[in-house]
Amino acid sequence: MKVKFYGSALKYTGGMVSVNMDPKCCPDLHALINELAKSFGEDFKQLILGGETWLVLVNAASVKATGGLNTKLKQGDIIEVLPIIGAG
Amino acid sequence: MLNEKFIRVLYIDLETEKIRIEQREDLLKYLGGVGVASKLLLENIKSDCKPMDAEQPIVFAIGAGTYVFPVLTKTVAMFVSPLTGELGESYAGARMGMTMLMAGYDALVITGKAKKHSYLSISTNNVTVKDARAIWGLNVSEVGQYIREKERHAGHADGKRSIVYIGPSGENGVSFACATVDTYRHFGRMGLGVCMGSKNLKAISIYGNRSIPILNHKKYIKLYQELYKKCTATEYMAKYHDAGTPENIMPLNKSGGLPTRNMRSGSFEEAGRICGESFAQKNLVRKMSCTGCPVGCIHIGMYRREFDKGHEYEAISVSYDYELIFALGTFLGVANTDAIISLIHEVEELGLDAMSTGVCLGWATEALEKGYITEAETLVKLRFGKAEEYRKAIEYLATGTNSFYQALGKGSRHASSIYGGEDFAMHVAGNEMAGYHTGYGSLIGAAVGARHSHLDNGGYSFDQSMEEFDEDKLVDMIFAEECERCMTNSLIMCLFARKIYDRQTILDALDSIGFELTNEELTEIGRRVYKTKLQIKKALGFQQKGVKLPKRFFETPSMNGMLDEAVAKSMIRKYAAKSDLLLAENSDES
Repeated sequence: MKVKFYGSALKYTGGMVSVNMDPKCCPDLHALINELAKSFGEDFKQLILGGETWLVLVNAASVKATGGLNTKLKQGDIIEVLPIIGAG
Repeated sequence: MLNEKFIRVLYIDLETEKIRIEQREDLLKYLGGVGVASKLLLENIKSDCKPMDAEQPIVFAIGAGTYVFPVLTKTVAMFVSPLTGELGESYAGARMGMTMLMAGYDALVITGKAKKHSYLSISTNNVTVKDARAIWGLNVSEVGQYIREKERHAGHADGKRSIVYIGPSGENGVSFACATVDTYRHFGRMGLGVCMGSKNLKAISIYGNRSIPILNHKKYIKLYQELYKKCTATEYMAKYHDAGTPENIMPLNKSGGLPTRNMRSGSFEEAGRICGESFAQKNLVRKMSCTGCPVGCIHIGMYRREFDKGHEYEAISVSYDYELIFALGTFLGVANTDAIISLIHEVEELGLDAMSTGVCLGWATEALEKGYITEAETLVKLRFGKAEEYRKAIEYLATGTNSFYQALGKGSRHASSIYGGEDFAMHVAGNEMAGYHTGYGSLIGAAVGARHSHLDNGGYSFDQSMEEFDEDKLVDMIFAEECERCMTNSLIMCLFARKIYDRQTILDALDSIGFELTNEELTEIGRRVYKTKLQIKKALGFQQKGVKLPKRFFETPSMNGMLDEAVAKSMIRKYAAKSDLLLAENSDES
């Protein structure tokens, strides 16, 4: 499965726009974030878990509607991490 | 007024050239900013006259904390909107707030019509109506250059002066003409530019050089440093500095909330070419801040334009953000960053609101496609994605070239009422839509919001955060946030910073500069200000229950799926009932 990063998320990935992950070690979103935190650090993990400033999509659907961090993942899934919409 | 127990109001009558200053204790209960401006507008509107009548007022006000704390940078303008026919409200940053404070005025009330084309020169001890006949008809950048040269103050840096000015659109009666502030900021929405033009007022220059002591310096500096750190060293504001609001393009596109091609769709297949990262890589040349802000969210983009044959080129630079990219990009199907910057440059020079311009042209493109109008009227073959045709149309719009463009210059609601195609004229109560088709929050928020803006109550934000749609709860949240923003816009803070300025921070900040308020009093101020706005809207004949939304909102799936017109109507009715209750409250006279 593939994880894609957009916008200011790239600050936490060192500019890496996507990464391939093995679904065996990431059965759900929470496990995936823990796995990514090994490469990108605790700041990345805390930001996603904070949940207020990031939008996470699995196969183009917001995880808000599929169980949040408990959303199940499988081979071939595309996970996207985007900043939430803000205006002022 | 900082360190004083009154609000200092400068009244200017352009017709008689008489001025007066009032120091009003009674306005303190409105705190400042939009609170004070709303009260002054209510006192001075002529509800039986048209928006552009000479007697209608234009009000400017700064907030209770303007320039004193980080990110409290904006000035509010209030007027009767020629676009919607009711309450007009718009905000701009740059240097204006700082110069009003330094000149010694919390608010300006401008009435009457100058006998000839004029501009205003305002300083601490002097107000002069000056001859502007030489610059009438000039584009925005030319006017800025002229006023900057004329309004020099010996021995003082130009940074203590701010200039508000209009382009040809404001002179030619375009209902959504904007007013530019210090080159890169704007009172963009609802037609302040045409209100100034109708008063023969091309520009306002404000210069201030007072020195104002901070009385509780120890407390103030401690709080200032904490706020500064929050603004610059935390995640709160990072994205606004980084790629800026154009970051919105990708999440909106991915989730289906990005209005595209006159909102036939909620996603744009070319979004990746015009997203925040693309603008940053191809066009971004620098970032700027409003005076008093450490964030640097103003993104300046540049492109090279061939203006004549024979290898004649010039560099064009404009400020860009999400709303402009939506209105002149996705909404028109334009998928090239240079082309979008060239369209932004065109609306800038002519003094148009970019959002209304893009949305009106989106309607015109579809109306031409469907045969409601012909090329004899549009003069160019408007097609989604064709920027050069849009560039010409923008010029026709600003100059009112023919009766079609004159009608379009009064907004998409007006034009579609004449030519047809009302179902796909994407306005909300007369104000062209913002770039969020996120769900009931954004749609109902704009329908009932005081100025029909996404920023009245941040409905789009609830569409993202609400776990499960609950009609009553959402209505309550929108109403509460509208009141809250009436309070925060009385400070006036940049809305990017709303998470930095929580209630306790606001109370501490106000306390350090002499405002002793309680949390309950802040709530009361918000409700008082909103009630005043509702009184203005009522006086001008507006009814929330009467808002009719174009069918397209219910035909194109939003970020949260397809919206139901019956649910939308029900929410508007429920919200209107809450507004009526607030209006009927007599515990605190506005």
